[in-house]
Amino acid sequence: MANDDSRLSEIEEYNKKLTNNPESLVFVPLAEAYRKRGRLDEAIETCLKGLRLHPTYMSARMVLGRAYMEKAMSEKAVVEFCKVASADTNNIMAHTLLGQLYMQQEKYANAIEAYQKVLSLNPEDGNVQQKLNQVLELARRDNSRSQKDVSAETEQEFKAPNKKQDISKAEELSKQGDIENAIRIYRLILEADPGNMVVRQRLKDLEIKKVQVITSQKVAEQRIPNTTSFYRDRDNDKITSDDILSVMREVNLSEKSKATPKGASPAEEKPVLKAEPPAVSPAVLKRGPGAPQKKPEGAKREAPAQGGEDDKILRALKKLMQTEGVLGSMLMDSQANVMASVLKTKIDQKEIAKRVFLIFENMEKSVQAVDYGKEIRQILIAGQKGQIVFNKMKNRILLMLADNNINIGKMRLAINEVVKALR
Amino acid sequence: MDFKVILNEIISNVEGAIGAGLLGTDGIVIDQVSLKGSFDISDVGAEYATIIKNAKKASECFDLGKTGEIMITTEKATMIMMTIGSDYFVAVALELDGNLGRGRLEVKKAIPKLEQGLT
Repeated sequence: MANDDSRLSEIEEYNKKLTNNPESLVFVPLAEAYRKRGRLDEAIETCLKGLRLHPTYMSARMVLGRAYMEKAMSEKAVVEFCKVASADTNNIMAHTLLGQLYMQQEKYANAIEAYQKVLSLNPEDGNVQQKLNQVLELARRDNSRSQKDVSAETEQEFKAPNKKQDISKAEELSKQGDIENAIRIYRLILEADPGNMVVRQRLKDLEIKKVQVITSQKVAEQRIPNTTSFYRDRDNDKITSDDILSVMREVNLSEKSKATPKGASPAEEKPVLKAEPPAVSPAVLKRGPGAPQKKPEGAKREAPAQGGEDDKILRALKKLMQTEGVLGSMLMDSQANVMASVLKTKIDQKEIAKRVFLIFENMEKSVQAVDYGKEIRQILIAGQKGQIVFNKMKNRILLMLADNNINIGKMRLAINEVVKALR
Repeated sequence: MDFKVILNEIISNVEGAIGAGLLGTDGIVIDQVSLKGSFDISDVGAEYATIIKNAKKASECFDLGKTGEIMITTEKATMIMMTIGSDYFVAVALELDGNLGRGRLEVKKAIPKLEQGLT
């Protein structure tokens, strides 16, 4: 009773809000409140009205589908859940309810597909696993009714413990990422039992997964050379941000203290210039008193003009470091190779460059999708502890890290000067 | 709380503003206003959420702490995005010659009001 009363006041409140602002998204909780109170017609009407203004609002479609379902309008409910499932393929609830509806409609193949999708998203869902078993049983019975020639032997074989063991083994391998062997076992099972729909579907899923893995590896390799270890070790060998910031601060302080004494030559300064020919291990030219005198292999390969450009880049980055609040900077080429940086050598700069490059690329794709332009020129991200600027210069990305002592205006000014100098 | 009124306040006080939107970090658009037809975020809220997500990744990478503001400049426009708590953010688009400083200020001023309406 108390619940009913509170739901009633909830409905009044939502209705009031919706009357004040008919474009508000409050129609969804309102419809849900109607549905929970059993006022299904009003729930449906509210959803339909709201969806006219917000057709892509999937939460509304979920409420509408549920209302249809409770009103035994299963065809319409299926349409709504299908829309949600196609807009958001990982929506577990939509797939689960679809499975339930298909099962009621005796569309067992569709129900199996829906429940399998749920299990692929959440393999631990025992409830859905149980439902899948039920629907499989129903499908088998249905099949044997309609196909009298289905041999009892096949059914016996499906139930045989060794078949179950094989399926479990394949599932285990699949979970462990051993796709090849899981596929091999599923194929063997299918050879013996070609009508096994579950195994056929799982095999299909794994084959798709295999292609996706191969494709994504190829794309990653093309985009960023030698990235395999980066992806593999990302979690285990995570660079802590504290490391980066503390090292950058260290470098910054060291830079500034070195710049103070009169007559200090630029050669005494600490930044590291990297000359990295693509796909060759990076050659590091250390400029400082403790630096080795002999030039690494990569540096020998440089054309004379290249050295001039490197000096220019280095000078520009060093100048940037003199700006108060700037903690570090880095210049990357279009392949995420570090061209120059004022980060300390012990930091894995290549790894940072790759991460930054991927983030920049993803953001650029999103910006294109929202029609803000084709190319990002600059991104500034301000956090509680510091700020970062990415500046695109043709096919290079200049990164600058700063603390919160520098304001955005000065930061942009400083970075624009570097851009101008490098142009 | 009519978010449109607050969003309108932002864009009407900033020269060169194109539009403003209030979104959830899950990509759901809560409200939007536009001075020009080119600003319509109703179908692309998810992309805005992706931008925020990537900015957060970059922040984590460099230990910048909680992401508060993102500014993106393209050949076409400048976009200011500021987070409101952990679940919402406001996005304002400006023409390239728009008053960026004013834009940031107006968004900062609007955040407490928007926050009030969201809680």
